Amino acid sequence: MRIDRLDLIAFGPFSEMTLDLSAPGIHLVAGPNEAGKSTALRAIDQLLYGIDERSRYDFVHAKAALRLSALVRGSEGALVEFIRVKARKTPLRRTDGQPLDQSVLNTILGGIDRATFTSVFALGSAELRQGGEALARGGGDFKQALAAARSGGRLSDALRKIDERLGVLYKRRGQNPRINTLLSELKQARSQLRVATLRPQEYLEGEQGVKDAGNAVTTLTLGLEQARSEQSRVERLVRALPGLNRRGVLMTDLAVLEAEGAIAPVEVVERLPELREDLRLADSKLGDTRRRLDAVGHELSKLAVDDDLLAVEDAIDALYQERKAAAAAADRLASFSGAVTDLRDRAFSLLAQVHMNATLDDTDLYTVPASLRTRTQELHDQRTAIDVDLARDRKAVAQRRRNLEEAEKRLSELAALEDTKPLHAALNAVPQDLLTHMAAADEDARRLDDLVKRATLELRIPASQVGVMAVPTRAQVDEHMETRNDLKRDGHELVKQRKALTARLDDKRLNLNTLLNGDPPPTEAELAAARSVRYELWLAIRDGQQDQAGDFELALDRADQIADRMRRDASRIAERYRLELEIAHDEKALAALNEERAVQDDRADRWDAEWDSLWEGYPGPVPKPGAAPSTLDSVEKLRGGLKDLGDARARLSSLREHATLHIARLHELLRAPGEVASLGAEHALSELPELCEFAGQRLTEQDELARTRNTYESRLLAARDELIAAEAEVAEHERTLTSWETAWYELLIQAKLPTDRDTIGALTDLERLGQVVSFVADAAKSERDSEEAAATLDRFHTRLATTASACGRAMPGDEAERHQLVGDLYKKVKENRSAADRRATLVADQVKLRTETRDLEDAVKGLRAELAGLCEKTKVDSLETLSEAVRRSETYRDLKASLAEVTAALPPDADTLLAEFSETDEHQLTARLRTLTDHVDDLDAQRTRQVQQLGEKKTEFARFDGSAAATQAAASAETTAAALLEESEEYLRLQIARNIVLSCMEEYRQTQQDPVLARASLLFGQLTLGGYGGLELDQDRDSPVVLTRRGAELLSADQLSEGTRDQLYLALRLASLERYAEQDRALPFIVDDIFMTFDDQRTVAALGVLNDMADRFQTIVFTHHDHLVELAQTELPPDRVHVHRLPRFTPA
Amino acid sequence: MEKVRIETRLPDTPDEGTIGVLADLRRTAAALRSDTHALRQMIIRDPLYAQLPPEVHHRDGIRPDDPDWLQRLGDDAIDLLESMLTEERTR
Repeated sequence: MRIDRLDLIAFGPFSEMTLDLSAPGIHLVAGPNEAGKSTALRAIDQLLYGIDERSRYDFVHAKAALRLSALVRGSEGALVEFIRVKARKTPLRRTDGQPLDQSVLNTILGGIDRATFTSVFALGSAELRQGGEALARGGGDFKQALAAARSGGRLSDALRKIDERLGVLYKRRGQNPRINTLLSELKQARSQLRVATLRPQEYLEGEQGVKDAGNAVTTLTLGLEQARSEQSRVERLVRALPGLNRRGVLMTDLAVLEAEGAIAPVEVVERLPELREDLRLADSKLGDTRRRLDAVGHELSKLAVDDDLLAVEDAIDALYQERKAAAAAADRLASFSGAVTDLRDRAFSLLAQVHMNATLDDTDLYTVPASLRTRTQELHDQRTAIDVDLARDRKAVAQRRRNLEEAEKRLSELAALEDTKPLHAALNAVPQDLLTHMAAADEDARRLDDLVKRATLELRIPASQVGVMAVPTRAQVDEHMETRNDLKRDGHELVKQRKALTARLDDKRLNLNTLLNGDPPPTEAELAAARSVRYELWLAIRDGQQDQAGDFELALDRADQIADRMRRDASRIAERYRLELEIAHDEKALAALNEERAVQDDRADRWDAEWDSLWEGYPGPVPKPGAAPSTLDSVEKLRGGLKDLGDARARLSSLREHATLHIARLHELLRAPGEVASLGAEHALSELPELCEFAGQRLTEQDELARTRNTYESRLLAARDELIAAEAEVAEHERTLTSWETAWYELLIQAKLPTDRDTIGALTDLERLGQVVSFVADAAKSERDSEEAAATLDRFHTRLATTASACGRAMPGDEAERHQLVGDLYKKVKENRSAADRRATLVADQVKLRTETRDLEDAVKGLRAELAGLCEKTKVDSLETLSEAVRRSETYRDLKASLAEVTAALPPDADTLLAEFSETDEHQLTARLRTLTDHVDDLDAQRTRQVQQLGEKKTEFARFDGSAAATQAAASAETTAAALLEESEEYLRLQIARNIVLSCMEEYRQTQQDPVLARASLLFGQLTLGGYGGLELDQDRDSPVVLTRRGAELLSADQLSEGTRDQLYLALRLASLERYAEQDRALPFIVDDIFMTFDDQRTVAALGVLNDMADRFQTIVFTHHDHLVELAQTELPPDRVHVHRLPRFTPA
Repeated sequence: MEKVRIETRLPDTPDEGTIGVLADLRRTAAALRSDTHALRQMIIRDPLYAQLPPEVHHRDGIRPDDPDWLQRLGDDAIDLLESMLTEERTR
């Protein structure tokens, strides 16, 4: 699969950026730090497998707006273009927005999952470094190396992490891992459980001690309880004595009260006040009701109502409503007679203004049809329009005649035209690019001249000798430079060797000095003295002087010390001899190096002399060897510059000749040559443009004159046409006026108007005749209204006469009195209506009050009977004695309540206590209580001491009781076992995971070992430029180990340099990658700055390897090194390198 | 106390490839899971097993003779591996 085009529409720092990756070869994506290379790399992963749920590439675009697009090509060549968005629903879409099933993409991906893609098809510098280090760490274990190369190091990492976690959990003979610790803890808890057992005899003794102490406590507790009980009884009696005395007094008072007289029962006491109040209220209400009943009767007797008048109240109301209409009718009747006459007079007057002798009977003279009125207005409007048009067109004819005269005058004042064709031809003959070429040639000549001058100054050579100077060839210079580099390298090596040898020699001399400065060996005298002392002591011991044995032992010890010292001195002498030999050898080697150094100096001197002879023909100073290539470059540049300068000058001279010919022709044709003076060929570059500009101006002026003349002639013709058209318009309007006058005369005849009337006069006559018609119509209407008013008035008078008769009133003769009568009757009706309403209300109140009076009389009677019942219940014969009984009853209840209260406050056994104790004097009882209190305190103290003893016995006994410790130990064992189970499961789970990983690794090794090794061997040779012959396997180990061959030497991975280790990992990685291609499952291979530890030559070699692979895998290289881009562009074929630059991202 | 076991697994996604390390691991794990005898041997031959006390061999404990327990341990192991191999992407 290949990505032909990647669109970073909205992702990370990118907005609408496109990378065209369709060309074959390597694609280099280059950009500075922060340009987004890593983001672009991740974008490919997100494009193919989905944008992460918690994407961190939303720092410019919102999460929901993240969007990528691509055109990808499957292995069969099928193209799919799609868009990837950050969405749960339809994250994959076609370009038209329709959903695209992930399965389409999965088919193209060839079943390669995301983890495989990101770990196998992407390689960064950190991973390469880790891969190389892992190879070294594993000693080149090929199984792990293969797995790491295939999984991007993930399998190895996983295995390492599993091993770390296993080590934390358990080691077979370990102590610190968690499971080992838990096993120890469990063992200890079990041991504690076993120890927590009981000893029977001690237990029984302890138990008896506790029991005895407990019995003593029980005895003391019983005595204490009895004493406290006695104390409590005395205390209660002392506290009850005042209450008992009070109870006696209260009982005496009650007996006295009962002897005084009757005591009202409680219900009588409670009911009597209410009953008295109810009786008082009932008496009061009864009196009030009787007074209100009398008042109602009195008002009814005074109230008078006219029932006859009320019988015609509706007729009176109607007359009252009609009275205004009747008055209005009377007024209209009076005014109508004068108005009719006035209207007819005004109509006649207006008619006479139009037809002098006509009367109002000549209706045909003033009744004009509406159509004639409309026609009159139309003709008036037409005449107005005709007059306006005629005046306007006549004014236009005059104006256009003046325009024509003006145009004729301007045309006659214009200058005559010239023949401009020759000037046109001469100007067109000047080539358009002549001046550009002249300017360019002039600029070239100046630039080259400056260049030559600068070059001679830089080389410090005289300008006169430039043409004859000689310099060595590049081959000669390169040959000398190579010799010089060899000399320098040899010199550096010599210095390095000499320095190392000198340092080593110094160290050895220092060691020798240290040996020489050590303690000297024992002398013969010391040895003889020691022997003599020892011998004398031995003789003394042999002679039986046993007290010398200690000294003899000391002498023997001293002999041993001397022997040890001699052995050490022998070793030091051997070491000294070895050092002296090595120093002599090194000094010889140093002398040889010094001689070699002298030879080197002679060779350098000879080289300097040869170098100077190479530059004999060079007029400038002899360059330093390092500057020689640049000097040769400058000389070559100088020679090229001189040649280019000659060419530029010749080209400039030729162009100037051409320009001079054109200048002469233009001077000839221009009529005012004095305005532009000829300056000669040297100034053609400035003169020719001026002449061309002058000629151009002349041609422009003539063109402008021709255009002006054409414009004026056109205007003249237009003015003539407009004048003719205006005159035709005037004639047409005059014909229209004649037709209108005929129509006007006919209209006046039809309207019977005088024929001398103009339109304004006729319209005024028609207005007057219209008013005549209106006045005549108004007079007729007034006559009809007068008849209606008279009828209305008659009806009112008739109804009034009937009503007045019913009420016994006479019909007045005057109209005003009639209206007065209607008002009076209406007022009387209102008054009678109010009186009748009041009468009805009073009658109803009277009935209600009579009923209330009867009810109240019954209630008073009932209350009095109840009062008599209360006297009977209390057994008294009067209301006064009843009140006395009630008063006594209240005192009686108070005494009873106090007695109950006092009795309740007494202890329940107060009477019993009083009967038990012989003494009832308070002082005697108090003394007895004090004695009892002291006794209780004494017993309590004894009991406290005994309880304390019991506690001690129990504590002592608890030491024999193992149950708590056993429980604790059992709980600890249980907790530890639970933790142990948890950790053990984790350990076993990790072991299974580890076995799965190892099985996978082994399976892959068995199937892929040979092809991958063969391919990696070849690639490693290419990557190291043949420095390493390839890879081999050491099969003798438990697990095969990969070895690199350098010449006849076999090196393991940990013996390689850092860069070479990285190249070994890269070779294995690329070889593993090719296995995917063989299964037709190649995805784009993306590398990110993996050449950090590669020198330039190996970088070029690696680029070459990637280029070779690029036809099987699309290869994309991300880098921030311009140097790498330059190397690729220089060393690889141009059509195989495609550089894509990313700009630096600047946050907003 | 009730022993609660929580099982988590990534949902089916395009990550479910048919080629590559994860696919190989799943295949190996599936083979191992079906071979409970091999799983049992793997556990009882481990030095730890011999050291484990009787307290951990109860109904909810280490039970190499229980096929269900063995398969669950195998599932846990492959889940652990998958999370280790895919954690790079989620970092």
